[in-house]
Amino acid sequence: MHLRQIWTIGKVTFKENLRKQLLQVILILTIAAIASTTLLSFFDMGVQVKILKDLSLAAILFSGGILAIAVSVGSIPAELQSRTAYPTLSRAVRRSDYILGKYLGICLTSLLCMGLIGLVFLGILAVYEHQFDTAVALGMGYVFLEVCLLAAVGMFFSLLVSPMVSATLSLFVFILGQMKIGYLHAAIENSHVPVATQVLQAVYYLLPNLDSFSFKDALIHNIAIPSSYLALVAAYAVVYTGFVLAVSSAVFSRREI
Amino acid sequence: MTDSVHTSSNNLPLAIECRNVTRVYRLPRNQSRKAVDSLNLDVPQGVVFGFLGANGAGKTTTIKMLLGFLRPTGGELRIFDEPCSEHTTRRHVGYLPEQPYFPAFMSPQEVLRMHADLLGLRPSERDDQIDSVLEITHLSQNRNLPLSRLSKGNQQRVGIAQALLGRPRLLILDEPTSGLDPLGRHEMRQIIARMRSEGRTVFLSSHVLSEIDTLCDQITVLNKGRVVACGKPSEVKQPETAVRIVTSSLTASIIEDLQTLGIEIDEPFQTTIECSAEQIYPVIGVLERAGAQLLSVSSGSETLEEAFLRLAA
Repeated sequence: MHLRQIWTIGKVTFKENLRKQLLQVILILTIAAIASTTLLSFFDMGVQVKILKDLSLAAILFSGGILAIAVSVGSIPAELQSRTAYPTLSRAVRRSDYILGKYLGICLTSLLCMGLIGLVFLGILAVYEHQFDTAVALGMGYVFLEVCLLAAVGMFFSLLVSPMVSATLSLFVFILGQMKIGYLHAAIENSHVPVATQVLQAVYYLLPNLDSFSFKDALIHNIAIPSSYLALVAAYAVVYTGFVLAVSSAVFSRREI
Repeated sequence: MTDSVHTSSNNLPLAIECRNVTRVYRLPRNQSRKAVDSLNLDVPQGVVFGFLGANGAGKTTTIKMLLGFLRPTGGELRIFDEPCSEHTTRRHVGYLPEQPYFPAFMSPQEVLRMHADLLGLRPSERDDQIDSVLEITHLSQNRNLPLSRLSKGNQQRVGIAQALLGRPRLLILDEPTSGLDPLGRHEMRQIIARMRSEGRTVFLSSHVLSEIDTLCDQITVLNKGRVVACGKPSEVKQPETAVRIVTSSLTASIIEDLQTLGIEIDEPFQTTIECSAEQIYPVIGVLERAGAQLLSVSSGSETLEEAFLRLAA
Protein backbone atom coordinates (compact mmCIF):
# COMPACT_ATOMS: atom_id res chain seq x y z
CA MET A 1 0.00 0.00 0.00
CA HIS A 2 1.43 3.34 -1.07
CA LEU A 3 -0.28 6.11 0.90
CA ARG A 4 0.95 8.99 -1.24
CA GLN A 5 -0.39 7.39 -4.42
CA ILE A 6 -3.72 6.64 -2.74
CA TRP A 7 -3.95 10.24 -1.51
CA THR A 8 -3.06 11.62 -4.97
CA ILE A 9 -5.72 9.54 -6.71
CA GLY A 10 -8.20 10.40 -3.94
CA LYS A 11 -7.60 14.14 -4.32
CA VAL A 12 -8.20 14.10 -8.08
CA THR A 13 -11.33 11.95 -7.67
CA PHE A 14 -12.63 14.36 -5.03
CA LYS A 15 -12.06 17.40 -7.27
CA GLU A 16 -13.69 15.61 -10.18
CA ASN A 17 -16.73 14.64 -8.10
CA LEU A 18 -17.29 18.20 -6.92
CA ARG A 19 -17.96 19.18 -10.50
CA LYS A 20 -20.88 16.77 -10.82
CA GLN A 21 -24.19 18.58 -11.10
CA LEU A 22 -26.15 15.73 -9.54
CA LEU A 23 -24.13 16.15 -6.36
CA GLN A 24 -24.83 19.88 -6.26
CA VAL A 25 -28.57 19.26 -6.79
CA ILE A 26 -28.72 16.67 -3.98
CA LEU A 27 -26.86 19.05 -1.68
CA ILE A 28 -29.18 22.00 -2.38
CA LEU A 29 -32.38 19.93 -2.15
CA THR A 30 -31.37 18.33 1.17
CA ILE A 31 -30.42 21.65 2.75
CA ALA A 32 -33.69 23.14 1.47
CA ALA A 33 -35.65 20.18 2.89
CA ILE A 34 -34.00 20.59 6.32
CA ALA A 35 -34.49 24.34 6.32
CA SER A 36 -38.16 23.92 5.37
CA THR A 37 -38.86 21.99 8.59
CA THR A 38 -38.45 25.29 10.46
CA LEU A 39 -41.66 26.42 8.78
CA LEU A 40 -43.65 23.94 10.90
CA SER A 41 -44.12 26.55 13.62
CA PHE A 42 -47.69 25.51 14.45
CA PHE A 43 -46.40 22.68 16.70
CA ASP A 44 -45.09 23.33 20.19
CA MET A 45 -41.32 23.60 20.55
CA GLY A 46 -40.72 20.02 21.81
CA VAL A 47 -42.72 18.44 19.00
CA GLN A 48 -41.12 20.70 16.42
CA VAL A 49 -37.62 19.70 17.51
CA LYS A 50 -38.62 16.03 17.29
CA ILE A 51 -40.06 16.56 13.80
CA LEU A 52 -36.94 18.50 12.80
CA LYS A 53 -34.71 15.65 13.96
CA ASP A 54 -36.92 12.97 12.43
CA LEU A 55 -37.29 14.56 8.99
CA SER A 56 -33.75 15.88 8.83
CA LEU A 57 -32.06 12.61 9.79
CA ALA A 58 -34.25 10.76 7.28
CA ALA A 59 -33.37 13.34 4.60
CA ILE A 60 -29.66 13.11 5.42
CA LEU A 61 -29.72 9.31 5.27
CA PHE A 62 -31.64 9.29 2.00
CA SER A 63 -29.54 11.97 0.31
CA GLY A 64 -26.32 10.44 1.64
CA GLY A 65 -27.31 7.04 0.24
CA ILE A 66 -28.26 8.44 -3.16
CA LEU A 67 -25.07 10.52 -3.24
CA ALA A 68 -22.89 7.51 -2.37
CA ILE A 69 -24.52 5.40 -5.06
CA ALA A 70 -24.43 8.15 -7.70
CA VAL A 71 -20.75 8.90 -7.15
CA SER A 72 -19.45 5.38 -6.55
CA VAL A 73 -21.07 3.49 -9.44
CA GLY A 74 -19.80 5.87 -12.12
CA SER A 75 -16.33 6.72 -10.93
CA ILE A 76 -14.21 3.85 -12.24
CA PRO A 77 -16.27 2.93 -15.34
CA ALA A 78 -16.20 6.58 -16.42
CA GLU A 79 -12.42 6.72 -16.05
CA LEU A 80 -11.98 3.51 -18.02
CA GLN A 81 -14.37 4.64 -20.73
CA SER A 82 -12.82 8.09 -21.06
CA ARG A 83 -9.35 6.46 -20.76
CA THR A 84 -8.22 8.89 -18.09
CA ALA A 85 -7.29 5.81 -16.06
CA TYR A 86 -4.61 4.75 -18.55
CA PRO A 87 -1.91 7.32 -17.74
CA THR A 88 -2.47 6.71 -14.01
CA LEU A 89 -2.31 2.93 -14.28
CA SER A 90 0.74 3.08 -16.54
CA ARG A 91 2.63 4.30 -13.47
CA ALA A 92 3.95 1.92 -10.83
CA VAL A 93 0.57 2.00 -9.13
CA ARG A 94 -0.97 -1.12 -7.65
CA ARG A 95 -4.51 -1.75 -8.82
CA SER A 96 -5.54 -2.07 -5.17
CA ASP A 97 -4.09 1.39 -4.46
CA TYR A 98 -6.06 2.77 -7.39
CA ILE A 99 -9.25 1.28 -5.90
CA LEU A 100 -8.43 2.69 -2.46
CA GLY A 101 -7.63 6.09 -3.97
CA LYS A 102 -10.91 6.23 -5.85
CA TYR A 103 -12.73 5.12 -2.70
CA LEU A 104 -10.98 7.76 -0.64
CA GLY A 105 -12.07 10.42 -3.13
CA ILE A 106 -15.66 9.23 -2.92
CA CYS A 107 -15.56 9.26 0.90
CA LEU A 108 -14.07 12.78 0.91
CA THR A 109 -16.89 13.91 -1.38
CA SER A 110 -19.49 12.36 0.93
CA LEU A 111 -17.76 13.88 3.94
CA LEU A 112 -17.86 17.37 2.44
CA CYS A 113 -21.51 17.12 1.39
CA MET A 114 -22.68 15.54 4.62
CA GLY A 115 -20.56 18.00 6.58
CA LEU A 116 -22.29 20.93 4.88
CA ILE A 117 -25.73 19.40 5.37
CA GLY A 118 -24.83 18.55 8.97
CA LEU A 119 -23.67 22.10 9.69
CA VAL A 120 -27.01 23.49 8.52
CA PHE A 121 -28.97 20.87 10.46
CA LEU A 122 -26.97 21.20 13.68
CA GLY A 123 -27.08 25.00 13.36
CA ILE A 124 -30.88 25.02 13.14
CA LEU A 125 -31.07 22.50 15.97
CA ALA A 126 -28.78 24.65 18.14
CA VAL A 127 -31.13 27.62 17.61
CA TYR A 128 -34.05 25.55 18.91
CA GLU A 129 -32.23 23.71 21.71
CA HIS A 130 -29.90 26.59 22.67
CA GLN A 131 -27.02 24.12 22.71
CA PHE A 132 -24.92 21.99 20.38
CA ASP A 133 -26.49 18.53 20.17
CA THR A 134 -23.47 16.19 20.40
CA ALA A 135 -25.66 13.07 20.31
CA VAL A 136 -27.14 14.11 16.96
CA ALA A 137 -23.66 14.99 15.66
CA LEU A 138 -22.51 11.51 16.66
CA GLY A 139 -25.57 10.00 14.99
CA MET A 140 -24.66 11.84 11.81
CA GLY A 141 -21.18 10.38 12.05
CA TYR A 142 -22.72 6.93 11.92
CA VAL A 143 -24.86 7.88 8.94
CA PHE A 144 -21.57 8.87 7.28
CA LEU A 145 -20.13 5.42 8.10
CA GLU A 146 -23.21 3.84 6.53
CA VAL A 147 -22.81 6.00 3.42
CA CYS A 148 -19.13 4.99 3.15
CA LEU A 149 -20.08 1.33 3.40
CA LEU A 150 -22.70 1.77 0.71
CA ALA A 151 -20.15 3.57 -1.50
CA ALA A 152 -17.81 0.57 -1.21
CA VAL A 153 -20.65 -1.74 -2.24
CA GLY A 154 -21.56 0.54 -5.17
CA MET A 155 -17.95 0.65 -6.35
CA PHE A 156 -17.72 -3.14 -6.12
CA PHE A 157 -20.82 -3.58 -8.31
CA SER A 158 -19.46 -1.06 -10.82
CA LEU A 159 -16.46 -3.34 -11.43
CA LEU A 160 -18.73 -6.18 -12.46
CA VAL A 161 -21.71 -4.68 -14.26
CA SER A 162 -22.73 -1.50 -16.07
CA PRO A 163 -23.21 1.71 -14.02
CA MET A 164 -26.99 1.52 -14.50
CA VAL A 165 -27.21 -2.05 -13.21
CA SER A 166 -24.79 -1.36 -10.37
CA ALA A 167 -26.87 1.68 -9.33
CA THR A 168 -29.98 -0.51 -9.25
CA LEU A 169 -28.20 -3.21 -7.24
CA SER A 170 -26.79 -0.65 -4.81
CA LEU A 171 -30.22 0.87 -4.32
CA PHE A 172 -31.54 -2.63 -3.67
CA VAL A 173 -28.82 -3.14 -1.02
CA PHE A 174 -29.57 0.28 0.48
CA ILE A 175 -33.29 -0.44 0.84
CA LEU A 176 -33.02 -4.10 1.88
CA GLY A 177 -30.15 -3.30 4.25
CA GLN A 178 -32.41 -0.91 6.14
CA MET A 179 -34.99 -3.62 6.78
CA LYS A 180 -32.62 -6.52 7.29
CA ILE A 181 -33.25 -7.19 10.95
CA GLY A 182 -36.98 -6.61 10.76
CA TYR A 183 -38.63 -7.83 7.60
CA LEU A 184 -35.90 -10.10 6.23
CA HIS A 185 -35.48 -11.92 9.54
CA ALA A 186 -39.22 -12.39 9.80
CA ALA A 187 -39.36 -13.63 6.20
CA ILE A 188 -36.75 -16.32 6.95
CA GLU A 189 -38.62 -17.47 10.05
CA ASN A 190 -41.93 -17.66 8.22
CA SER A 191 -40.58 -19.30 5.06
CA HIS A 192 -41.67 -22.92 4.58
CA VAL A 193 -39.99 -23.56 1.22
CA PRO A 194 -36.41 -24.82 1.83
CA VAL A 195 -34.94 -23.22 -1.30
CA ALA A 196 -36.53 -19.87 -0.52
CA THR A 197 -35.25 -20.08 3.05
CA GLN A 198 -31.71 -20.75 1.80
CA VAL A 199 -31.87 -17.86 -0.67
CA LEU A 200 -33.20 -15.53 2.01
CA GLN A 201 -30.50 -16.67 4.44
CA ALA A 202 -27.79 -16.05 1.82
CA VAL A 203 -29.18 -12.56 1.19
CA TYR A 204 -29.45 -12.01 4.93
CA TYR A 205 -25.81 -12.82 5.64
CA LEU A 206 -24.39 -11.09 2.55
CA LEU A 207 -26.35 -7.88 2.90
CA PRO A 208 -24.88 -5.22 5.13
CA ASN A 209 -26.91 -4.58 8.25
CA LEU A 210 -27.55 -0.90 7.56
CA ASP A 211 -30.38 -0.81 10.07
CA SER A 212 -27.87 -0.98 12.93
CA PHE A 213 -26.39 2.41 11.88
CA SER A 214 -29.62 4.23 12.43
CA PHE A 215 -30.07 5.75 15.89
CA LYS A 216 -32.85 8.02 14.75
CA ASP A 217 -35.43 6.89 17.29
CA ALA A 218 -32.97 7.06 20.17
CA LEU A 219 -31.80 10.52 19.09
CA ILE A 220 -35.33 11.85 18.70
CA HIS A 221 -36.34 10.64 22.11
CA ASN A 222 -33.00 11.54 23.74
CA ILE A 223 -32.20 7.96 24.72
CA ALA A 224 -28.53 7.32 25.49
CA ILE A 225 -26.81 4.73 23.26
CA PRO A 226 -24.33 2.42 25.00
CA SER A 227 -20.76 3.12 23.92
CA SER A 228 -20.10 -0.63 23.56
CA TYR A 229 -22.86 -0.77 20.93
CA LEU A 230 -21.42 2.26 19.13
CA ALA A 231 -17.98 0.62 19.09
CA LEU A 232 -19.44 -2.62 17.77
CA VAL A 233 -21.31 -0.86 14.94
CA ALA A 234 -18.19 1.15 14.01
CA ALA A 235 -16.11 -2.04 13.99
CA TYR A 236 -18.75 -3.74 11.84
CA ALA A 237 -18.63 -0.85 9.34
CA VAL A 238 -14.84 -0.99 9.14
CA VAL A 239 -14.70 -4.77 8.74
CA TYR A 240 -17.53 -4.98 6.19
CA THR A 241 -16.17 -2.05 4.16
CA GLY A 242 -12.64 -3.46 4.35
CA PHE A 243 -13.87 -6.81 3.10
CA VAL A 244 -15.77 -5.27 0.18
CA LEU A 245 -12.71 -3.16 -0.76
CA ALA A 246 -10.44 -6.20 -0.57
CA VAL A 247 -12.74 -8.14 -2.91
CA SER A 248 -12.98 -5.10 -5.23
CA SER A 249 -9.18 -4.84 -5.33
CA ALA A 250 -8.88 -8.53 -6.16
CA VAL A 251 -11.47 -8.20 -8.93
CA PHE A 252 -9.85 -5.08 -10.40
CA SER A 253 -6.34 -6.56 -10.18
CA ARG A 254 -7.44 -9.39 -12.44
CA ARG A 255 -9.34 -7.16 -14.79
CA GLU A 256 -7.92 -6.31 -18.21
CA ILE A 257 -8.34 -2.74 -19.35
CA MET B 1 14.86 -13.14 -11.13
CA THR B 2 17.93 -14.09 -13.10
CA ASP B 3 21.37 -12.92 -12.06
CA SER B 4 22.61 -12.26 -15.55
CA VAL B 5 21.40 -9.32 -17.57
CA HIS B 6 19.76 -10.43 -20.81
CA THR B 7 21.35 -9.03 -23.91
CA SER B 8 20.53 -8.63 -27.58
CA SER B 9 22.33 -10.46 -30.37
CA ASN B 10 24.87 -7.63 -30.53
CA ASN B 11 25.43 -7.91 -26.76
CA LEU B 12 23.57 -4.77 -25.73
CA PRO B 13 21.55 -5.18 -22.52
CA LEU B 14 17.84 -5.34 -23.23
CA ALA B 15 15.19 -2.81 -22.30
CA ILE B 16 12.29 -4.89 -23.63
CA GLU B 17 12.22 -8.60 -24.14
CA CYS B 18 9.24 -10.53 -25.52
CA ARG B 19 9.41 -14.29 -25.79
CA ASN B 20 6.79 -16.21 -27.78
CA VAL B 21 4.11 -13.75 -26.77
CA THR B 22 0.64 -14.61 -27.95
CA ARG B 23 -2.58 -12.83 -27.20
CA VAL B 24 -5.93 -14.25 -28.17
CA TYR B 25 -9.15 -12.24 -27.85
CA ARG B 26 -12.28 -14.22 -27.17
CA LEU B 27 -15.15 -13.24 -29.43
CA PRO B 28 -18.86 -14.04 -29.21
CA ARG B 29 -20.11 -17.45 -30.40
CA ASN B 30 -16.98 -19.29 -29.23
CA GLN B 31 -14.84 -17.52 -31.79
CA SER B 32 -11.42 -16.02 -31.14
CA ARG B 33 -8.91 -13.72 -32.78
CA LYS B 34 -5.15 -13.89 -32.44
CA ALA B 35 -4.04 -10.28 -32.05
CA VAL B 36 -0.41 -11.17 -31.34
CA ASP B 37 1.10 -14.42 -32.53
CA SER B 38 4.37 -15.85 -31.15
CA LEU B 39 5.98 -12.43 -30.91
CA ASN B 40 9.70 -12.33 -30.16
CA LEU B 41 11.17 -8.90 -29.61
CA ASP B 42 14.53 -7.72 -28.33
CA VAL B 43 14.79 -3.98 -27.76
CA PRO B 44 18.33 -3.06 -26.70
CA GLN B 45 18.84 -0.30 -24.15
CA GLY B 46 19.64 3.17 -25.44
CA VAL B 47 18.11 2.81 -28.90
CA VAL B 48 15.10 4.35 -30.59
CA PHE B 49 13.02 1.39 -31.62
CA GLY B 50 10.27 1.75 -34.21
CA PHE B 51 7.24 -0.48 -33.93
CA LEU B 52 5.32 -0.58 -37.19
CA GLY B 53 2.22 -2.24 -38.45
CA ALA B 54 -1.09 -1.51 -40.10
CA ASN B 55 -4.18 -0.89 -37.98
CA GLY B 56 -5.07 -4.11 -36.17
CA ALA B 57 -1.57 -5.56 -36.58
CA GLY B 58 -1.18 -6.00 -32.82
CA LYS B 59 0.88 -2.92 -31.86
CA THR B 60 -1.47 -1.50 -29.25
CA THR B 61 -2.13 -4.97 -27.82
CA THR B 62 1.62 -5.46 -27.41
CA ILE B 63 2.00 -2.05 -25.74
CA LYS B 64 -0.92 -2.83 -23.41
CA MET B 65 0.74 -6.13 -22.44
CA LEU B 66 4.03 -4.31 -21.77
CA LEU B 67 2.17 -1.93 -19.45
CA GLY B 68 0.32 -4.72 -17.66
CA PHE B 69 -3.10 -3.61 -18.93
CA LEU B 70 -3.55 -6.95 -20.70
CA ARG B 71 -2.19 -10.37 -19.85
CA PRO B 72 -0.57 -12.45 -22.59
CA THR B 73 -2.35 -15.70 -23.46
CA GLY B 74 1.10 -17.24 -23.75
CA GLY B 75 4.76 -16.25 -23.53
CA GLU B 76 6.61 -13.75 -21.41
CA LEU B 77 7.27 -10.00 -21.51
CA ARG B 78 10.03 -8.31 -19.53
CA ILE B 79 11.19 -4.72 -19.12
CA PHE B 80 14.75 -4.27 -17.86
CA ASP B 81 14.68 -7.95 -16.99
CA GLU B 82 11.65 -7.57 -14.72
CA PRO B 83 8.29 -9.17 -15.55
CA CYS B 84 5.69 -6.79 -16.97
CA SER B 85 3.03 -8.34 -14.77
CA GLU B 86 4.64 -6.64 -11.73
CA HIS B 87 3.53 -3.06 -11.13
CA THR B 88 7.00 -2.09 -9.89
CA THR B 89 8.44 -2.75 -13.36
CA ARG B 90 6.59 0.35 -14.59
CA ARG B 91 8.67 2.64 -12.37
CA HIS B 92 11.18 2.74 -15.24
CA VAL B 93 8.56 3.56 -17.87
CA GLY B 94 7.10 6.78 -19.22
CA TYR B 95 4.07 6.17 -21.41
CA LEU B 96 2.35 8.42 -23.90
CA PRO B 97 -0.97 6.94 -25.02
CA GLU B 98 -2.14 7.41 -28.59
CA GLN B 99 -4.46 10.16 -27.39
CA PRO B 100 -3.60 11.31 -23.89
CA TYR B 101 -6.72 11.68 -21.78
CA PHE B 102 -6.63 13.70 -18.59
CA PRO B 103 -9.50 15.26 -16.65
CA ALA B 104 -10.43 18.34 -18.70
CA PHE B 105 -10.74 20.61 -15.65
CA MET B 106 -7.07 20.11 -14.70
CA SER B 107 -4.27 22.36 -15.89
CA PRO B 108 -0.96 21.02 -17.28
CA GLN B 109 0.66 21.95 -13.97
CA GLU B 110 -1.93 19.94 -12.00
CA VAL B 111 -1.63 16.93 -14.31
CA LEU B 112 2.13 16.95 -13.93
CA ARG B 113 1.96 17.41 -10.17
CA MET B 114 -0.40 14.46 -9.93
CA HIS B 115 1.95 12.26 -11.96
CA ALA B 116 4.98 13.48 -10.05
CA ASP B 117 3.21 12.45 -6.84
CA LEU B 118 2.34 9.07 -8.32
CA LEU B 119 6.04 8.70 -9.13
CA GLY B 120 6.90 9.55 -5.54
CA LEU B 121 9.12 12.54 -6.38
CA ARG B 122 10.14 14.76 -3.47
CA PRO B 123 8.55 18.27 -3.55
CA SER B 124 11.71 20.13 -4.57
CA GLU B 125 12.64 17.53 -7.19
CA ARG B 126 9.01 17.50 -8.34
CA ASP B 127 8.88 21.24 -8.98
CA ASP B 128 12.22 21.22 -10.80
CA GLN B 129 11.17 18.39 -13.04
CA ILE B 130 7.78 19.94 -13.77
CA ASP B 131 9.46 23.20 -14.79
CA SER B 132 11.92 21.27 -16.92
CA VAL B 133 9.35 19.18 -18.84
CA LEU B 134 7.08 22.21 -19.31
CA GLU B 135 10.08 24.00 -20.80
CA ILE B 136 10.95 21.08 -23.09
CA THR B 137 7.39 20.80 -24.37
CA HIS B 138 6.91 24.59 -24.65
CA LEU B 139 3.97 24.59 -22.27
CA SER B 140 5.33 26.99 -19.64
CA GLN B 141 3.01 29.80 -20.70
CA ASN B 142 -0.07 27.57 -20.65
CA ARG B 143 0.77 25.76 -17.43
CA ASN B 144 -2.24 27.07 -15.50
CA LEU B 145 -4.89 26.91 -18.21
CA PRO B 146 -7.46 24.12 -17.93
CA LEU B 147 -6.92 21.38 -20.51
CA SER B 148 -10.37 22.06 -21.93
CA ARG B 149 -9.03 25.39 -23.16
CA LEU B 150 -5.90 23.98 -24.78
CA SER B 151 -5.61 22.99 -28.44
CA LYS B 152 -5.33 19.32 -29.37
CA GLY B 153 -1.64 19.77 -30.07
CA ASN B 154 -1.03 21.32 -26.66
CA GLN B 155 -2.97 18.53 -24.98
CA GLN B 156 -0.66 16.10 -26.76
CA ARG B 157 2.28 18.08 -25.37
CA VAL B 158 0.86 17.59 -21.85
CA GLY B 159 0.86 13.86 -22.56
CA ILE B 160 4.47 14.04 -23.68
CA ALA B 161 5.42 16.10 -20.63
CA GLN B 162 3.89 13.59 -18.20
CA ALA B 163 5.68 10.75 -20.01
CA LEU B 164 9.01 12.55 -19.52
CA LEU B 165 8.48 13.05 -15.79
CA GLY B 166 10.67 11.02 -13.48
CA ARG B 167 13.35 10.72 -16.18
CA PRO B 168 12.22 7.25 -17.25
CA ARG B 169 14.73 4.77 -18.63
CA LEU B 170 12.18 3.62 -21.17
CA LEU B 171 9.72 5.80 -23.06
CA ILE B 172 6.81 4.09 -24.76
CA LEU B 173 5.33 6.52 -27.24
CA ASP B 174 2.19 5.60 -29.12
CA GLU B 175 1.73 7.96 -32.06
CA PRO B 176 3.59 10.83 -30.34
CA THR B 177 3.13 13.34 -33.15
CA SER B 178 -0.62 12.82 -33.45
CA GLY B 179 -2.29 16.24 -33.43
CA LEU B 180 0.98 18.17 -33.55
CA ASP B 181 1.67 20.80 -36.18
CA PRO B 182 4.92 20.61 -38.24
CA LEU B 183 6.74 22.67 -35.61
CA GLY B 184 5.49 20.37 -32.86
CA ARG B 185 6.56 17.32 -34.86
CA HIS B 186 10.01 18.79 -35.26
CA GLU B 187 10.21 19.45 -31.51
CA MET B 188 9.05 15.89 -30.82
CA ARG B 189 11.82 14.53 -33.01
CA GLN B 190 14.28 16.68 -31.07
CA ILE B 191 12.96 15.32 -27.77
CA ILE B 192 13.37 11.74 -29.00
CA ALA B 193 16.88 12.47 -30.24
CA ARG B 194 17.67 14.02 -26.85
CA MET B 195 16.38 10.92 -25.04
CA ARG B 196 18.65 8.76 -27.14
CA SER B 197 21.65 11.00 -26.47
CA GLU B 198 20.93 10.64 -22.74
CA GLY B 199 21.04 6.86 -23.09
CA ARG B 200 17.32 6.25 -22.69
CA THR B 201 15.38 3.75 -24.72
CA VAL B 202 12.48 4.96 -26.85
CA PHE B 203 9.86 2.50 -28.06
CA LEU B 204 8.05 4.34 -30.80
CA SER B 205 4.85 3.25 -32.44
CA SER B 206 3.94 5.52 -35.33
CA HIS B 207 2.34 5.58 -38.72
CA VAL B 208 4.50 8.51 -39.82
CA LEU B 209 7.07 6.42 -41.66
CA SER B 210 9.39 9.26 -42.57
CA GLU B 211 9.69 9.94 -38.83
CA ILE B 212 10.49 6.31 -38.10
CA ASP B 213 13.01 6.23 -40.93
CA THR B 214 14.79 9.32 -39.64
CA LEU B 215 14.69 8.58 -35.92
CA CYS B 216 14.88 4.85 -35.37
CA ASP B 217 17.97 2.75 -34.91
CA GLN B 218 15.95 -0.44 -35.24
CA ILE B 219 12.48 -1.26 -36.41
CA THR B 220 10.08 -4.16 -36.32
CA VAL B 221 7.15 -4.54 -38.67
CA LEU B 222 4.12 -6.47 -37.48
CA ASN B 223 1.52 -7.97 -39.76
CA LYS B 224 -1.47 -9.83 -38.34
CA GLY B 225 0.27 -10.15 -34.99
CA ARG B 226 3.48 -11.62 -36.39
CA VAL B 227 6.89 -10.05 -36.95
CA VAL B 228 7.45 -9.85 -40.69
CA ALA B 229 10.64 -7.79 -40.63
CA CYS B 230 13.09 -6.47 -38.07
CA GLY B 231 16.46 -4.79 -38.05
CA LYS B 232 17.90 -1.42 -38.95
CA PRO B 233 15.66 0.62 -41.31
CA SER B 234 18.28 0.18 -44.04
CA GLU B 235 18.12 -3.59 -43.56
CA VAL B 236 14.32 -3.69 -43.73
CA LYS B 237 14.23 -1.67 -46.92
CA GLN B 238 15.22 -3.55 -50.05
CA PRO B 239 18.55 -2.42 -51.52
CA GLU B 240 18.76 -0.60 -54.80
CA THR B 241 16.39 -2.40 -57.09
CA ALA B 242 15.52 -0.22 -60.01
CA VAL B 243 16.10 2.98 -61.88
CA ARG B 244 13.14 5.28 -62.32
CA ILE B 245 12.83 7.27 -65.52
CA VAL B 246 10.14 9.90 -65.58
CA THR B 247 8.94 11.21 -68.89
CA SER B 248 6.28 13.66 -70.04
CA SER B 249 4.08 11.08 -71.75
CA LEU B 250 4.07 7.51 -72.90
CA THR B 251 2.40 6.93 -76.22
CA ALA B 252 1.23 3.53 -77.45
CA SER B 253 4.23 3.27 -79.78
CA ILE B 254 6.69 3.97 -76.93
CA ILE B 255 5.01 1.33 -74.77
CA GLU B 256 5.31 -1.17 -77.62
CA ASP B 257 9.03 -0.36 -78.03
CA LEU B 258 9.58 -0.66 -74.28
CA GLN B 259 7.90 -4.06 -74.30
CA THR B 260 10.46 -5.25 -76.82
CA LEU B 261 13.09 -4.35 -74.15
CA GLY B 262 11.19 -6.46 -71.62
CA ILE B 263 9.67 -3.53 -69.72
CA GLU B 264 5.99 -3.79 -68.91
CA ILE B 265 3.85 -0.69 -68.42
CA ASP B 266 0.81 -1.66 -66.38
CA GLU B 267 -1.17 1.55 -66.38
CA PRO B 268 -1.96 3.51 -69.58
CA PHE B 269 -1.35 7.01 -68.12
CA GLN B 270 1.80 6.07 -66.22
CA THR B 271 4.76 8.35 -66.89
CA THR B 272 7.35 6.52 -64.75
CA ILE B 273 9.35 3.69 -66.20
CA GLU B 274 11.14 1.30 -63.86
CA CYS B 275 14.05 -0.56 -65.32
CA SER B 276 17.36 -2.10 -64.40
CA ALA B 277 20.61 -0.17 -64.58
CA GLU B 278 21.54 -2.03 -67.82
CA GLN B 279 18.32 -0.91 -69.49
CA ILE B 280 18.81 2.85 -68.93
CA TYR B 281 20.40 3.74 -72.26
CA PRO B 282 18.13 1.60 -74.46
CA VAL B 283 15.08 3.13 -72.71
CA ILE B 284 16.40 6.67 -73.13
CA GLY B 285 17.03 5.84 -76.78
CA VAL B 286 13.41 4.79 -77.24
CA LEU B 287 12.20 8.01 -75.62
CA GLU B 288 14.55 10.16 -77.72
CA ARG B 289 13.42 8.55 -80.95
CA ALA B 290 9.78 9.14 -80.03
CA GLY B 291 10.52 12.77 -79.10
CA ALA B 292 9.29 12.29 -75.53
CA GLN B 293 10.60 14.72 -72.98
CA LEU B 294 12.86 13.17 -70.34
CA LEU B 295 12.02 14.69 -66.94
CA SER B 296 14.24 12.77 -64.51
CA VAL B 297 16.34 9.69 -64.02
CA SER B 298 16.79 8.50 -60.47
CA SER B 299 17.90 5.44 -58.64
CA GLY B 300 17.70 4.54 -54.98
CA SER B 301 16.71 1.98 -52.48
CA GLU B 302 13.17 1.28 -51.47
CA THR B 303 11.59 3.89 -49.19
CA LEU B 304 10.33 2.78 -45.81
CA GLU B 305 6.81 3.46 -47.01
CA GLU B 306 7.33 1.11 -49.94
CA ALA B 307 8.87 -1.48 -47.64
CA PHE B 308 5.95 -1.10 -45.25
CA LEU B 309 3.41 -1.53 -48.04
CA ARG B 310 5.25 -4.61 -49.24
CA LEU B 311 5.50 -6.14 -45.76
CA ALA B 312 2.13 -5.16 -44.39
CA ALA B 313 0.14 -6.11 -47.47
